[in-house]
Amino acid sequence: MTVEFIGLWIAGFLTLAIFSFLYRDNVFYKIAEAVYVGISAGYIMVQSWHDVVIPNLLIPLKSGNWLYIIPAALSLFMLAQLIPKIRWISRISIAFVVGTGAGYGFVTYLKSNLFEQVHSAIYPLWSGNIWTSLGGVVLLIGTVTGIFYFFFSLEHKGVLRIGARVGMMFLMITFGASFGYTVMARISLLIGRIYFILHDWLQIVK
Amino acid sequence: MKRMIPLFITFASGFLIIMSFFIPHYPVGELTNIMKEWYMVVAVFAMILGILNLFKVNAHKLIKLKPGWWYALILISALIFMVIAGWIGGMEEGSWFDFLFKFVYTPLNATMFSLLAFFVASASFRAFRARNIDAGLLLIAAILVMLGRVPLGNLISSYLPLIQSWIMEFPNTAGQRAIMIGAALGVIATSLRIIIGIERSYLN
Amino acid sequence: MKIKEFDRRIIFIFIALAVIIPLLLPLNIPIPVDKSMNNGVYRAYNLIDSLPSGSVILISFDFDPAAAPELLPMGQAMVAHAYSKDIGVITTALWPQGVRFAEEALLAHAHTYQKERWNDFVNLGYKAGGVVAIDNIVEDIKKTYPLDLYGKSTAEIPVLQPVNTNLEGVSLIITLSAGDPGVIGWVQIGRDRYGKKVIAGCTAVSAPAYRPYFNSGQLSGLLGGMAGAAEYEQLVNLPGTASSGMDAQSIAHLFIIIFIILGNIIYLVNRRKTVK
Repeated sequence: MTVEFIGLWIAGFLTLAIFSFLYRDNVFYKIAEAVYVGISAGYIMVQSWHDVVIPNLLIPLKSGNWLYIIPAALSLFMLAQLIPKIRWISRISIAFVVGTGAGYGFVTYLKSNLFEQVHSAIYPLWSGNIWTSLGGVVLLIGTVTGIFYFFFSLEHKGVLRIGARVGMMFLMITFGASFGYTVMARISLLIGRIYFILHDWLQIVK
Repeated sequence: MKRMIPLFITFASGFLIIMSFFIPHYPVGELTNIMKEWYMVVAVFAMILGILNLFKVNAHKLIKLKPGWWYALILISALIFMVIAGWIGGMEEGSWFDFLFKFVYTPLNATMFSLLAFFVASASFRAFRARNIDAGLLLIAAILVMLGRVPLGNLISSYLPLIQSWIMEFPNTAGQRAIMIGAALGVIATSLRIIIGIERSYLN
Repeated sequence: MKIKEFDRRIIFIFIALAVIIPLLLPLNIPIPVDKSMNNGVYRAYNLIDSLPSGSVILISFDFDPAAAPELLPMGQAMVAHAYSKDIGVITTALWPQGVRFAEEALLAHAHTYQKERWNDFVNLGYKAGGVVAIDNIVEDIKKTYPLDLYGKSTAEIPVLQPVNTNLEGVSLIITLSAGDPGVIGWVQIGRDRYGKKVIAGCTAVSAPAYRPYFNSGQLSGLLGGMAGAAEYEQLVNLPGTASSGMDAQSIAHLFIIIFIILGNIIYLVNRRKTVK
């Protein structure tokens, strides 16, 4: 009996344990769920330690780069969150993480998601082909009216009301497309699991 | 003091990062390069904090023998076992750690999410109604996309993939772009509020 | 008939059968590939295909096992495509679980194309920090990764020799992403800050949301879900798990559409009865 064989049977039973939830909540599902959360947390901890903490903190510290005492301190401060008496210290690390994230958020969203998107929403409508030109008009109207819909500073009255209404319709088509793609994604995951059962585990399918 | 120092750190780090996009070289670029490496390490410890918290909550449940304590015992054992396997046994192919990832973690994680296929199917039957024009548009777009994106759609009519592609390219892009621009304005405003210290909820 | 009283487990059985039967008895429905430049998959294929041999690409495996049925086939097909063109492959991961899938994708066809670790490919491993990690990677990959996954110094790895700061020497970034961190960060930093070309392979759930990036040219290619992976497999002529899943995908979609229509018919009949 190879390790692979044992592994496949364990994986097979765990797959069925999770699927058993579809019938009703039960003890096998709950055990599998607890194992999942534990293993998942353990995996993240080990992989992060190996790939980040060792090369980007411990090795530089060992080689005498004392500047790395600062990230080491910030890291330990983060863990102070667990000790009520000194919890406030963790605010220093949280502030560093939140501030850096906010700095990135401000510039990157301004540039990539606002300027670039507005920039590419302005284009010549006639492309030489009737369908793509029509599409271009639809894209422009949809974008502008969609933004109208999200414009809550003014009451949706008059022209704004018509714009917001058209925008709402575009958003509905967008959500429909998203729903279709969500169905696709969920089914793909199920295909992956059933394929595992039939191909890898039971080896019925080649 | 306990609030002022963190507020200053938030401001300084946010401001420096913004400045680094304008001055990517010495002195700001150099300084932020160091900060960016620190950030990766601190981010790991933020995750470790979450894991230790999970451990603490479950250990409490176990010690007090609260209802479901033995699930807490399983969770803690799995966590400790995985950490020991990785730290002592190594992580390479054929190790315990690798075995647990392949045959325990992968099936559990993947199957957990595949359950959603069943729930999305059930919701389609029980709740997806064309009650008005808006819901009707949503429903028609969903059906056209679902059919047009799979090989069966092409078998039914070669127009279906074209319609699907047109919906994705134009009306969908329009709606998503509007959402993207709206959300970007939200992120920009929130980031600015955090940097200048108006938004402080993260300190609580 | 009252829908609320309907046992949903009956629907569960239908969905399970809609997936199981086509996998057991394949229908072999041909998988069409739209070879127009509006198709993100074809655009991605073309871009990789146009790279000269000796180029280097970076693929970031930013997903966990839950998204593997959609994203791993993309990774395998793209790595194989790169190998076939003698393109060097560097892999990174912004999700800790991605490291193992990078390894799987790198090794899947390494033997066929006689590719060796470090000479032709390298798995650099995981970095935490999302967008900040991306900025570090692009700005100075060797400083961010002093060691690869196997502990070898990145300064000594041959495939990394032509790579410098700002990812100079890397022709293309590909992110296989199941969410955040992933596509958004690579677009914002890789493309918009450093001017690198970025291709995204994403789960079907997020594909519609990334379409504006493709439309604006911020993404040079976009592969969405298992269907996108199947198209890529067809283009490189290496049909794999995504292609073999397409029959089941088709039938399951058909069943869901039937459920929607049935649900609506029952709703309309009940509404008419209520009005009467």
